[in-house]
Amino acid sequence: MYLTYGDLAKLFPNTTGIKDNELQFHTVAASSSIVQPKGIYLPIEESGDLKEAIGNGAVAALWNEKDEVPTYTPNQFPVFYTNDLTKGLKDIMELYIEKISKAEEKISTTNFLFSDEKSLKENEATYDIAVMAENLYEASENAKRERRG
Amino acid sequence: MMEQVIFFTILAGFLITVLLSPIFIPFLRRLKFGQSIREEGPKSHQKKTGTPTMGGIMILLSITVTTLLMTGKFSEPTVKTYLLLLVTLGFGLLGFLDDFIKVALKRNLGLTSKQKLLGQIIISVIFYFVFRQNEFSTEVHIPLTDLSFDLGWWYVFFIIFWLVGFSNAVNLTDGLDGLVSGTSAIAFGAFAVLAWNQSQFEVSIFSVAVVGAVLGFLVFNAHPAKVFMGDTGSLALGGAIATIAILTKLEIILIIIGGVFVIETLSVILQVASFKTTGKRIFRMSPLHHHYELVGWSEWRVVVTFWTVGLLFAILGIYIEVWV
Repeated sequence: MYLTYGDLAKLFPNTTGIKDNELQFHTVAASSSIVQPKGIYLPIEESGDLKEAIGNGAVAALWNEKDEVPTYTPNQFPVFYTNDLTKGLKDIMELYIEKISKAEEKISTTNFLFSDEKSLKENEATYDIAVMAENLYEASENAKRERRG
Repeated sequence: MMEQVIFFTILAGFLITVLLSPIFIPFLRRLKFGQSIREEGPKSHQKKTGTPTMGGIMILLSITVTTLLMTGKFSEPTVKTYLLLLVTLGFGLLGFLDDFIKVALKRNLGLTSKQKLLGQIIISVIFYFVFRQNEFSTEVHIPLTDLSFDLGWWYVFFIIFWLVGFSNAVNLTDGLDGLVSGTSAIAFGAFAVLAWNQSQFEVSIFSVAVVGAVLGFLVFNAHPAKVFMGDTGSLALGGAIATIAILTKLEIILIIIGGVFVIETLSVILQVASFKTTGKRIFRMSPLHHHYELVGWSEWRVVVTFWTVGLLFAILGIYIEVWV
């Protein structure tokens, strides 16, 4: 039960690029340098090298509407806009926690990737994100154990 | 005499853009950032977004002034001259609106794709009516054959498809420093030769005016770019080259001479189709020039390679049309 374009379009109605509600995101990455297959990239941990993120597998991005999207961004590349990236990530995680809590199939889950999880916990603004990331990771591991057991 | 007009047209186009740049680039930079650079956001990001866009305004000014000035030296501007300027400036205006909303009003959303498409269709339809009023041919010739198809009033759809398609193709290609400036100079140069070969001198003068203007722009747009042309420039150049192809009845040859633009567009279509149907990407990133960057080529190497490919396509197009 992956996160989809349709899920995010409800949270972030301002978009550019292709609109495909069925598009699934296998990863959500906060850094462009992480390998992020079929990922949605959020430039939270650094300035935002979108080209590097796409090279690492990103198929969409969440962008701060106050910041200019790089001029090289392909016209078809899906970009969602928010006025607060950190809040945007929290909203995505809350939505996803709710989504998988109701889902029967919990094996195919979206992975949330951070290059430095320790610093997330040390920062007041991102502490909630670190906790939710741990909860999601545990839920995913439990689902895998249940399946094996 | 005509050779001198052609030479001075290129020179005038080049000089007007080069002389406008020192005035326009600081102005565009101020327009982009307002009174000061935004304080929020990391410094590296500000550096990445530091190059002003909308440099296409300089190209459009240069093309318009040079075309009217130099066509007047040779003969009176004809309806073809005005059709070329109508489409170039019309598509340029659409691109300008999109750029202006994004840059000056600091909104990433710009015009919606539907709004842009509607504007492009309106300009194409106006072009068609003027074209038909002057009883220009609606036949499309297939190169290397004796086949020609008279599309009659269906030609309006052909015009819409060609103008919208090529303006967006050039727009997609505009992703690396100097890429569109260089490939456009080559493609418009090829059409200048072919228009000359047909004795359509006003079209040839327009084409070389574009060559001069984009070469002048290239001085500031080559890597590392001091200015980008934006949608203002790329939509206008795409519309202009499609219009030249229609007026010279070389519609299909445009696919060869504009081969780089066509390949770039195909890379996007294939990428999207592959991702939608198989969930896998063919290229690491589309349009194609980004794929080569991500496999490790330098920006300059990608640009020079694409220029070379563009030159080969231009030579092939001229060869097919003139000698075969």
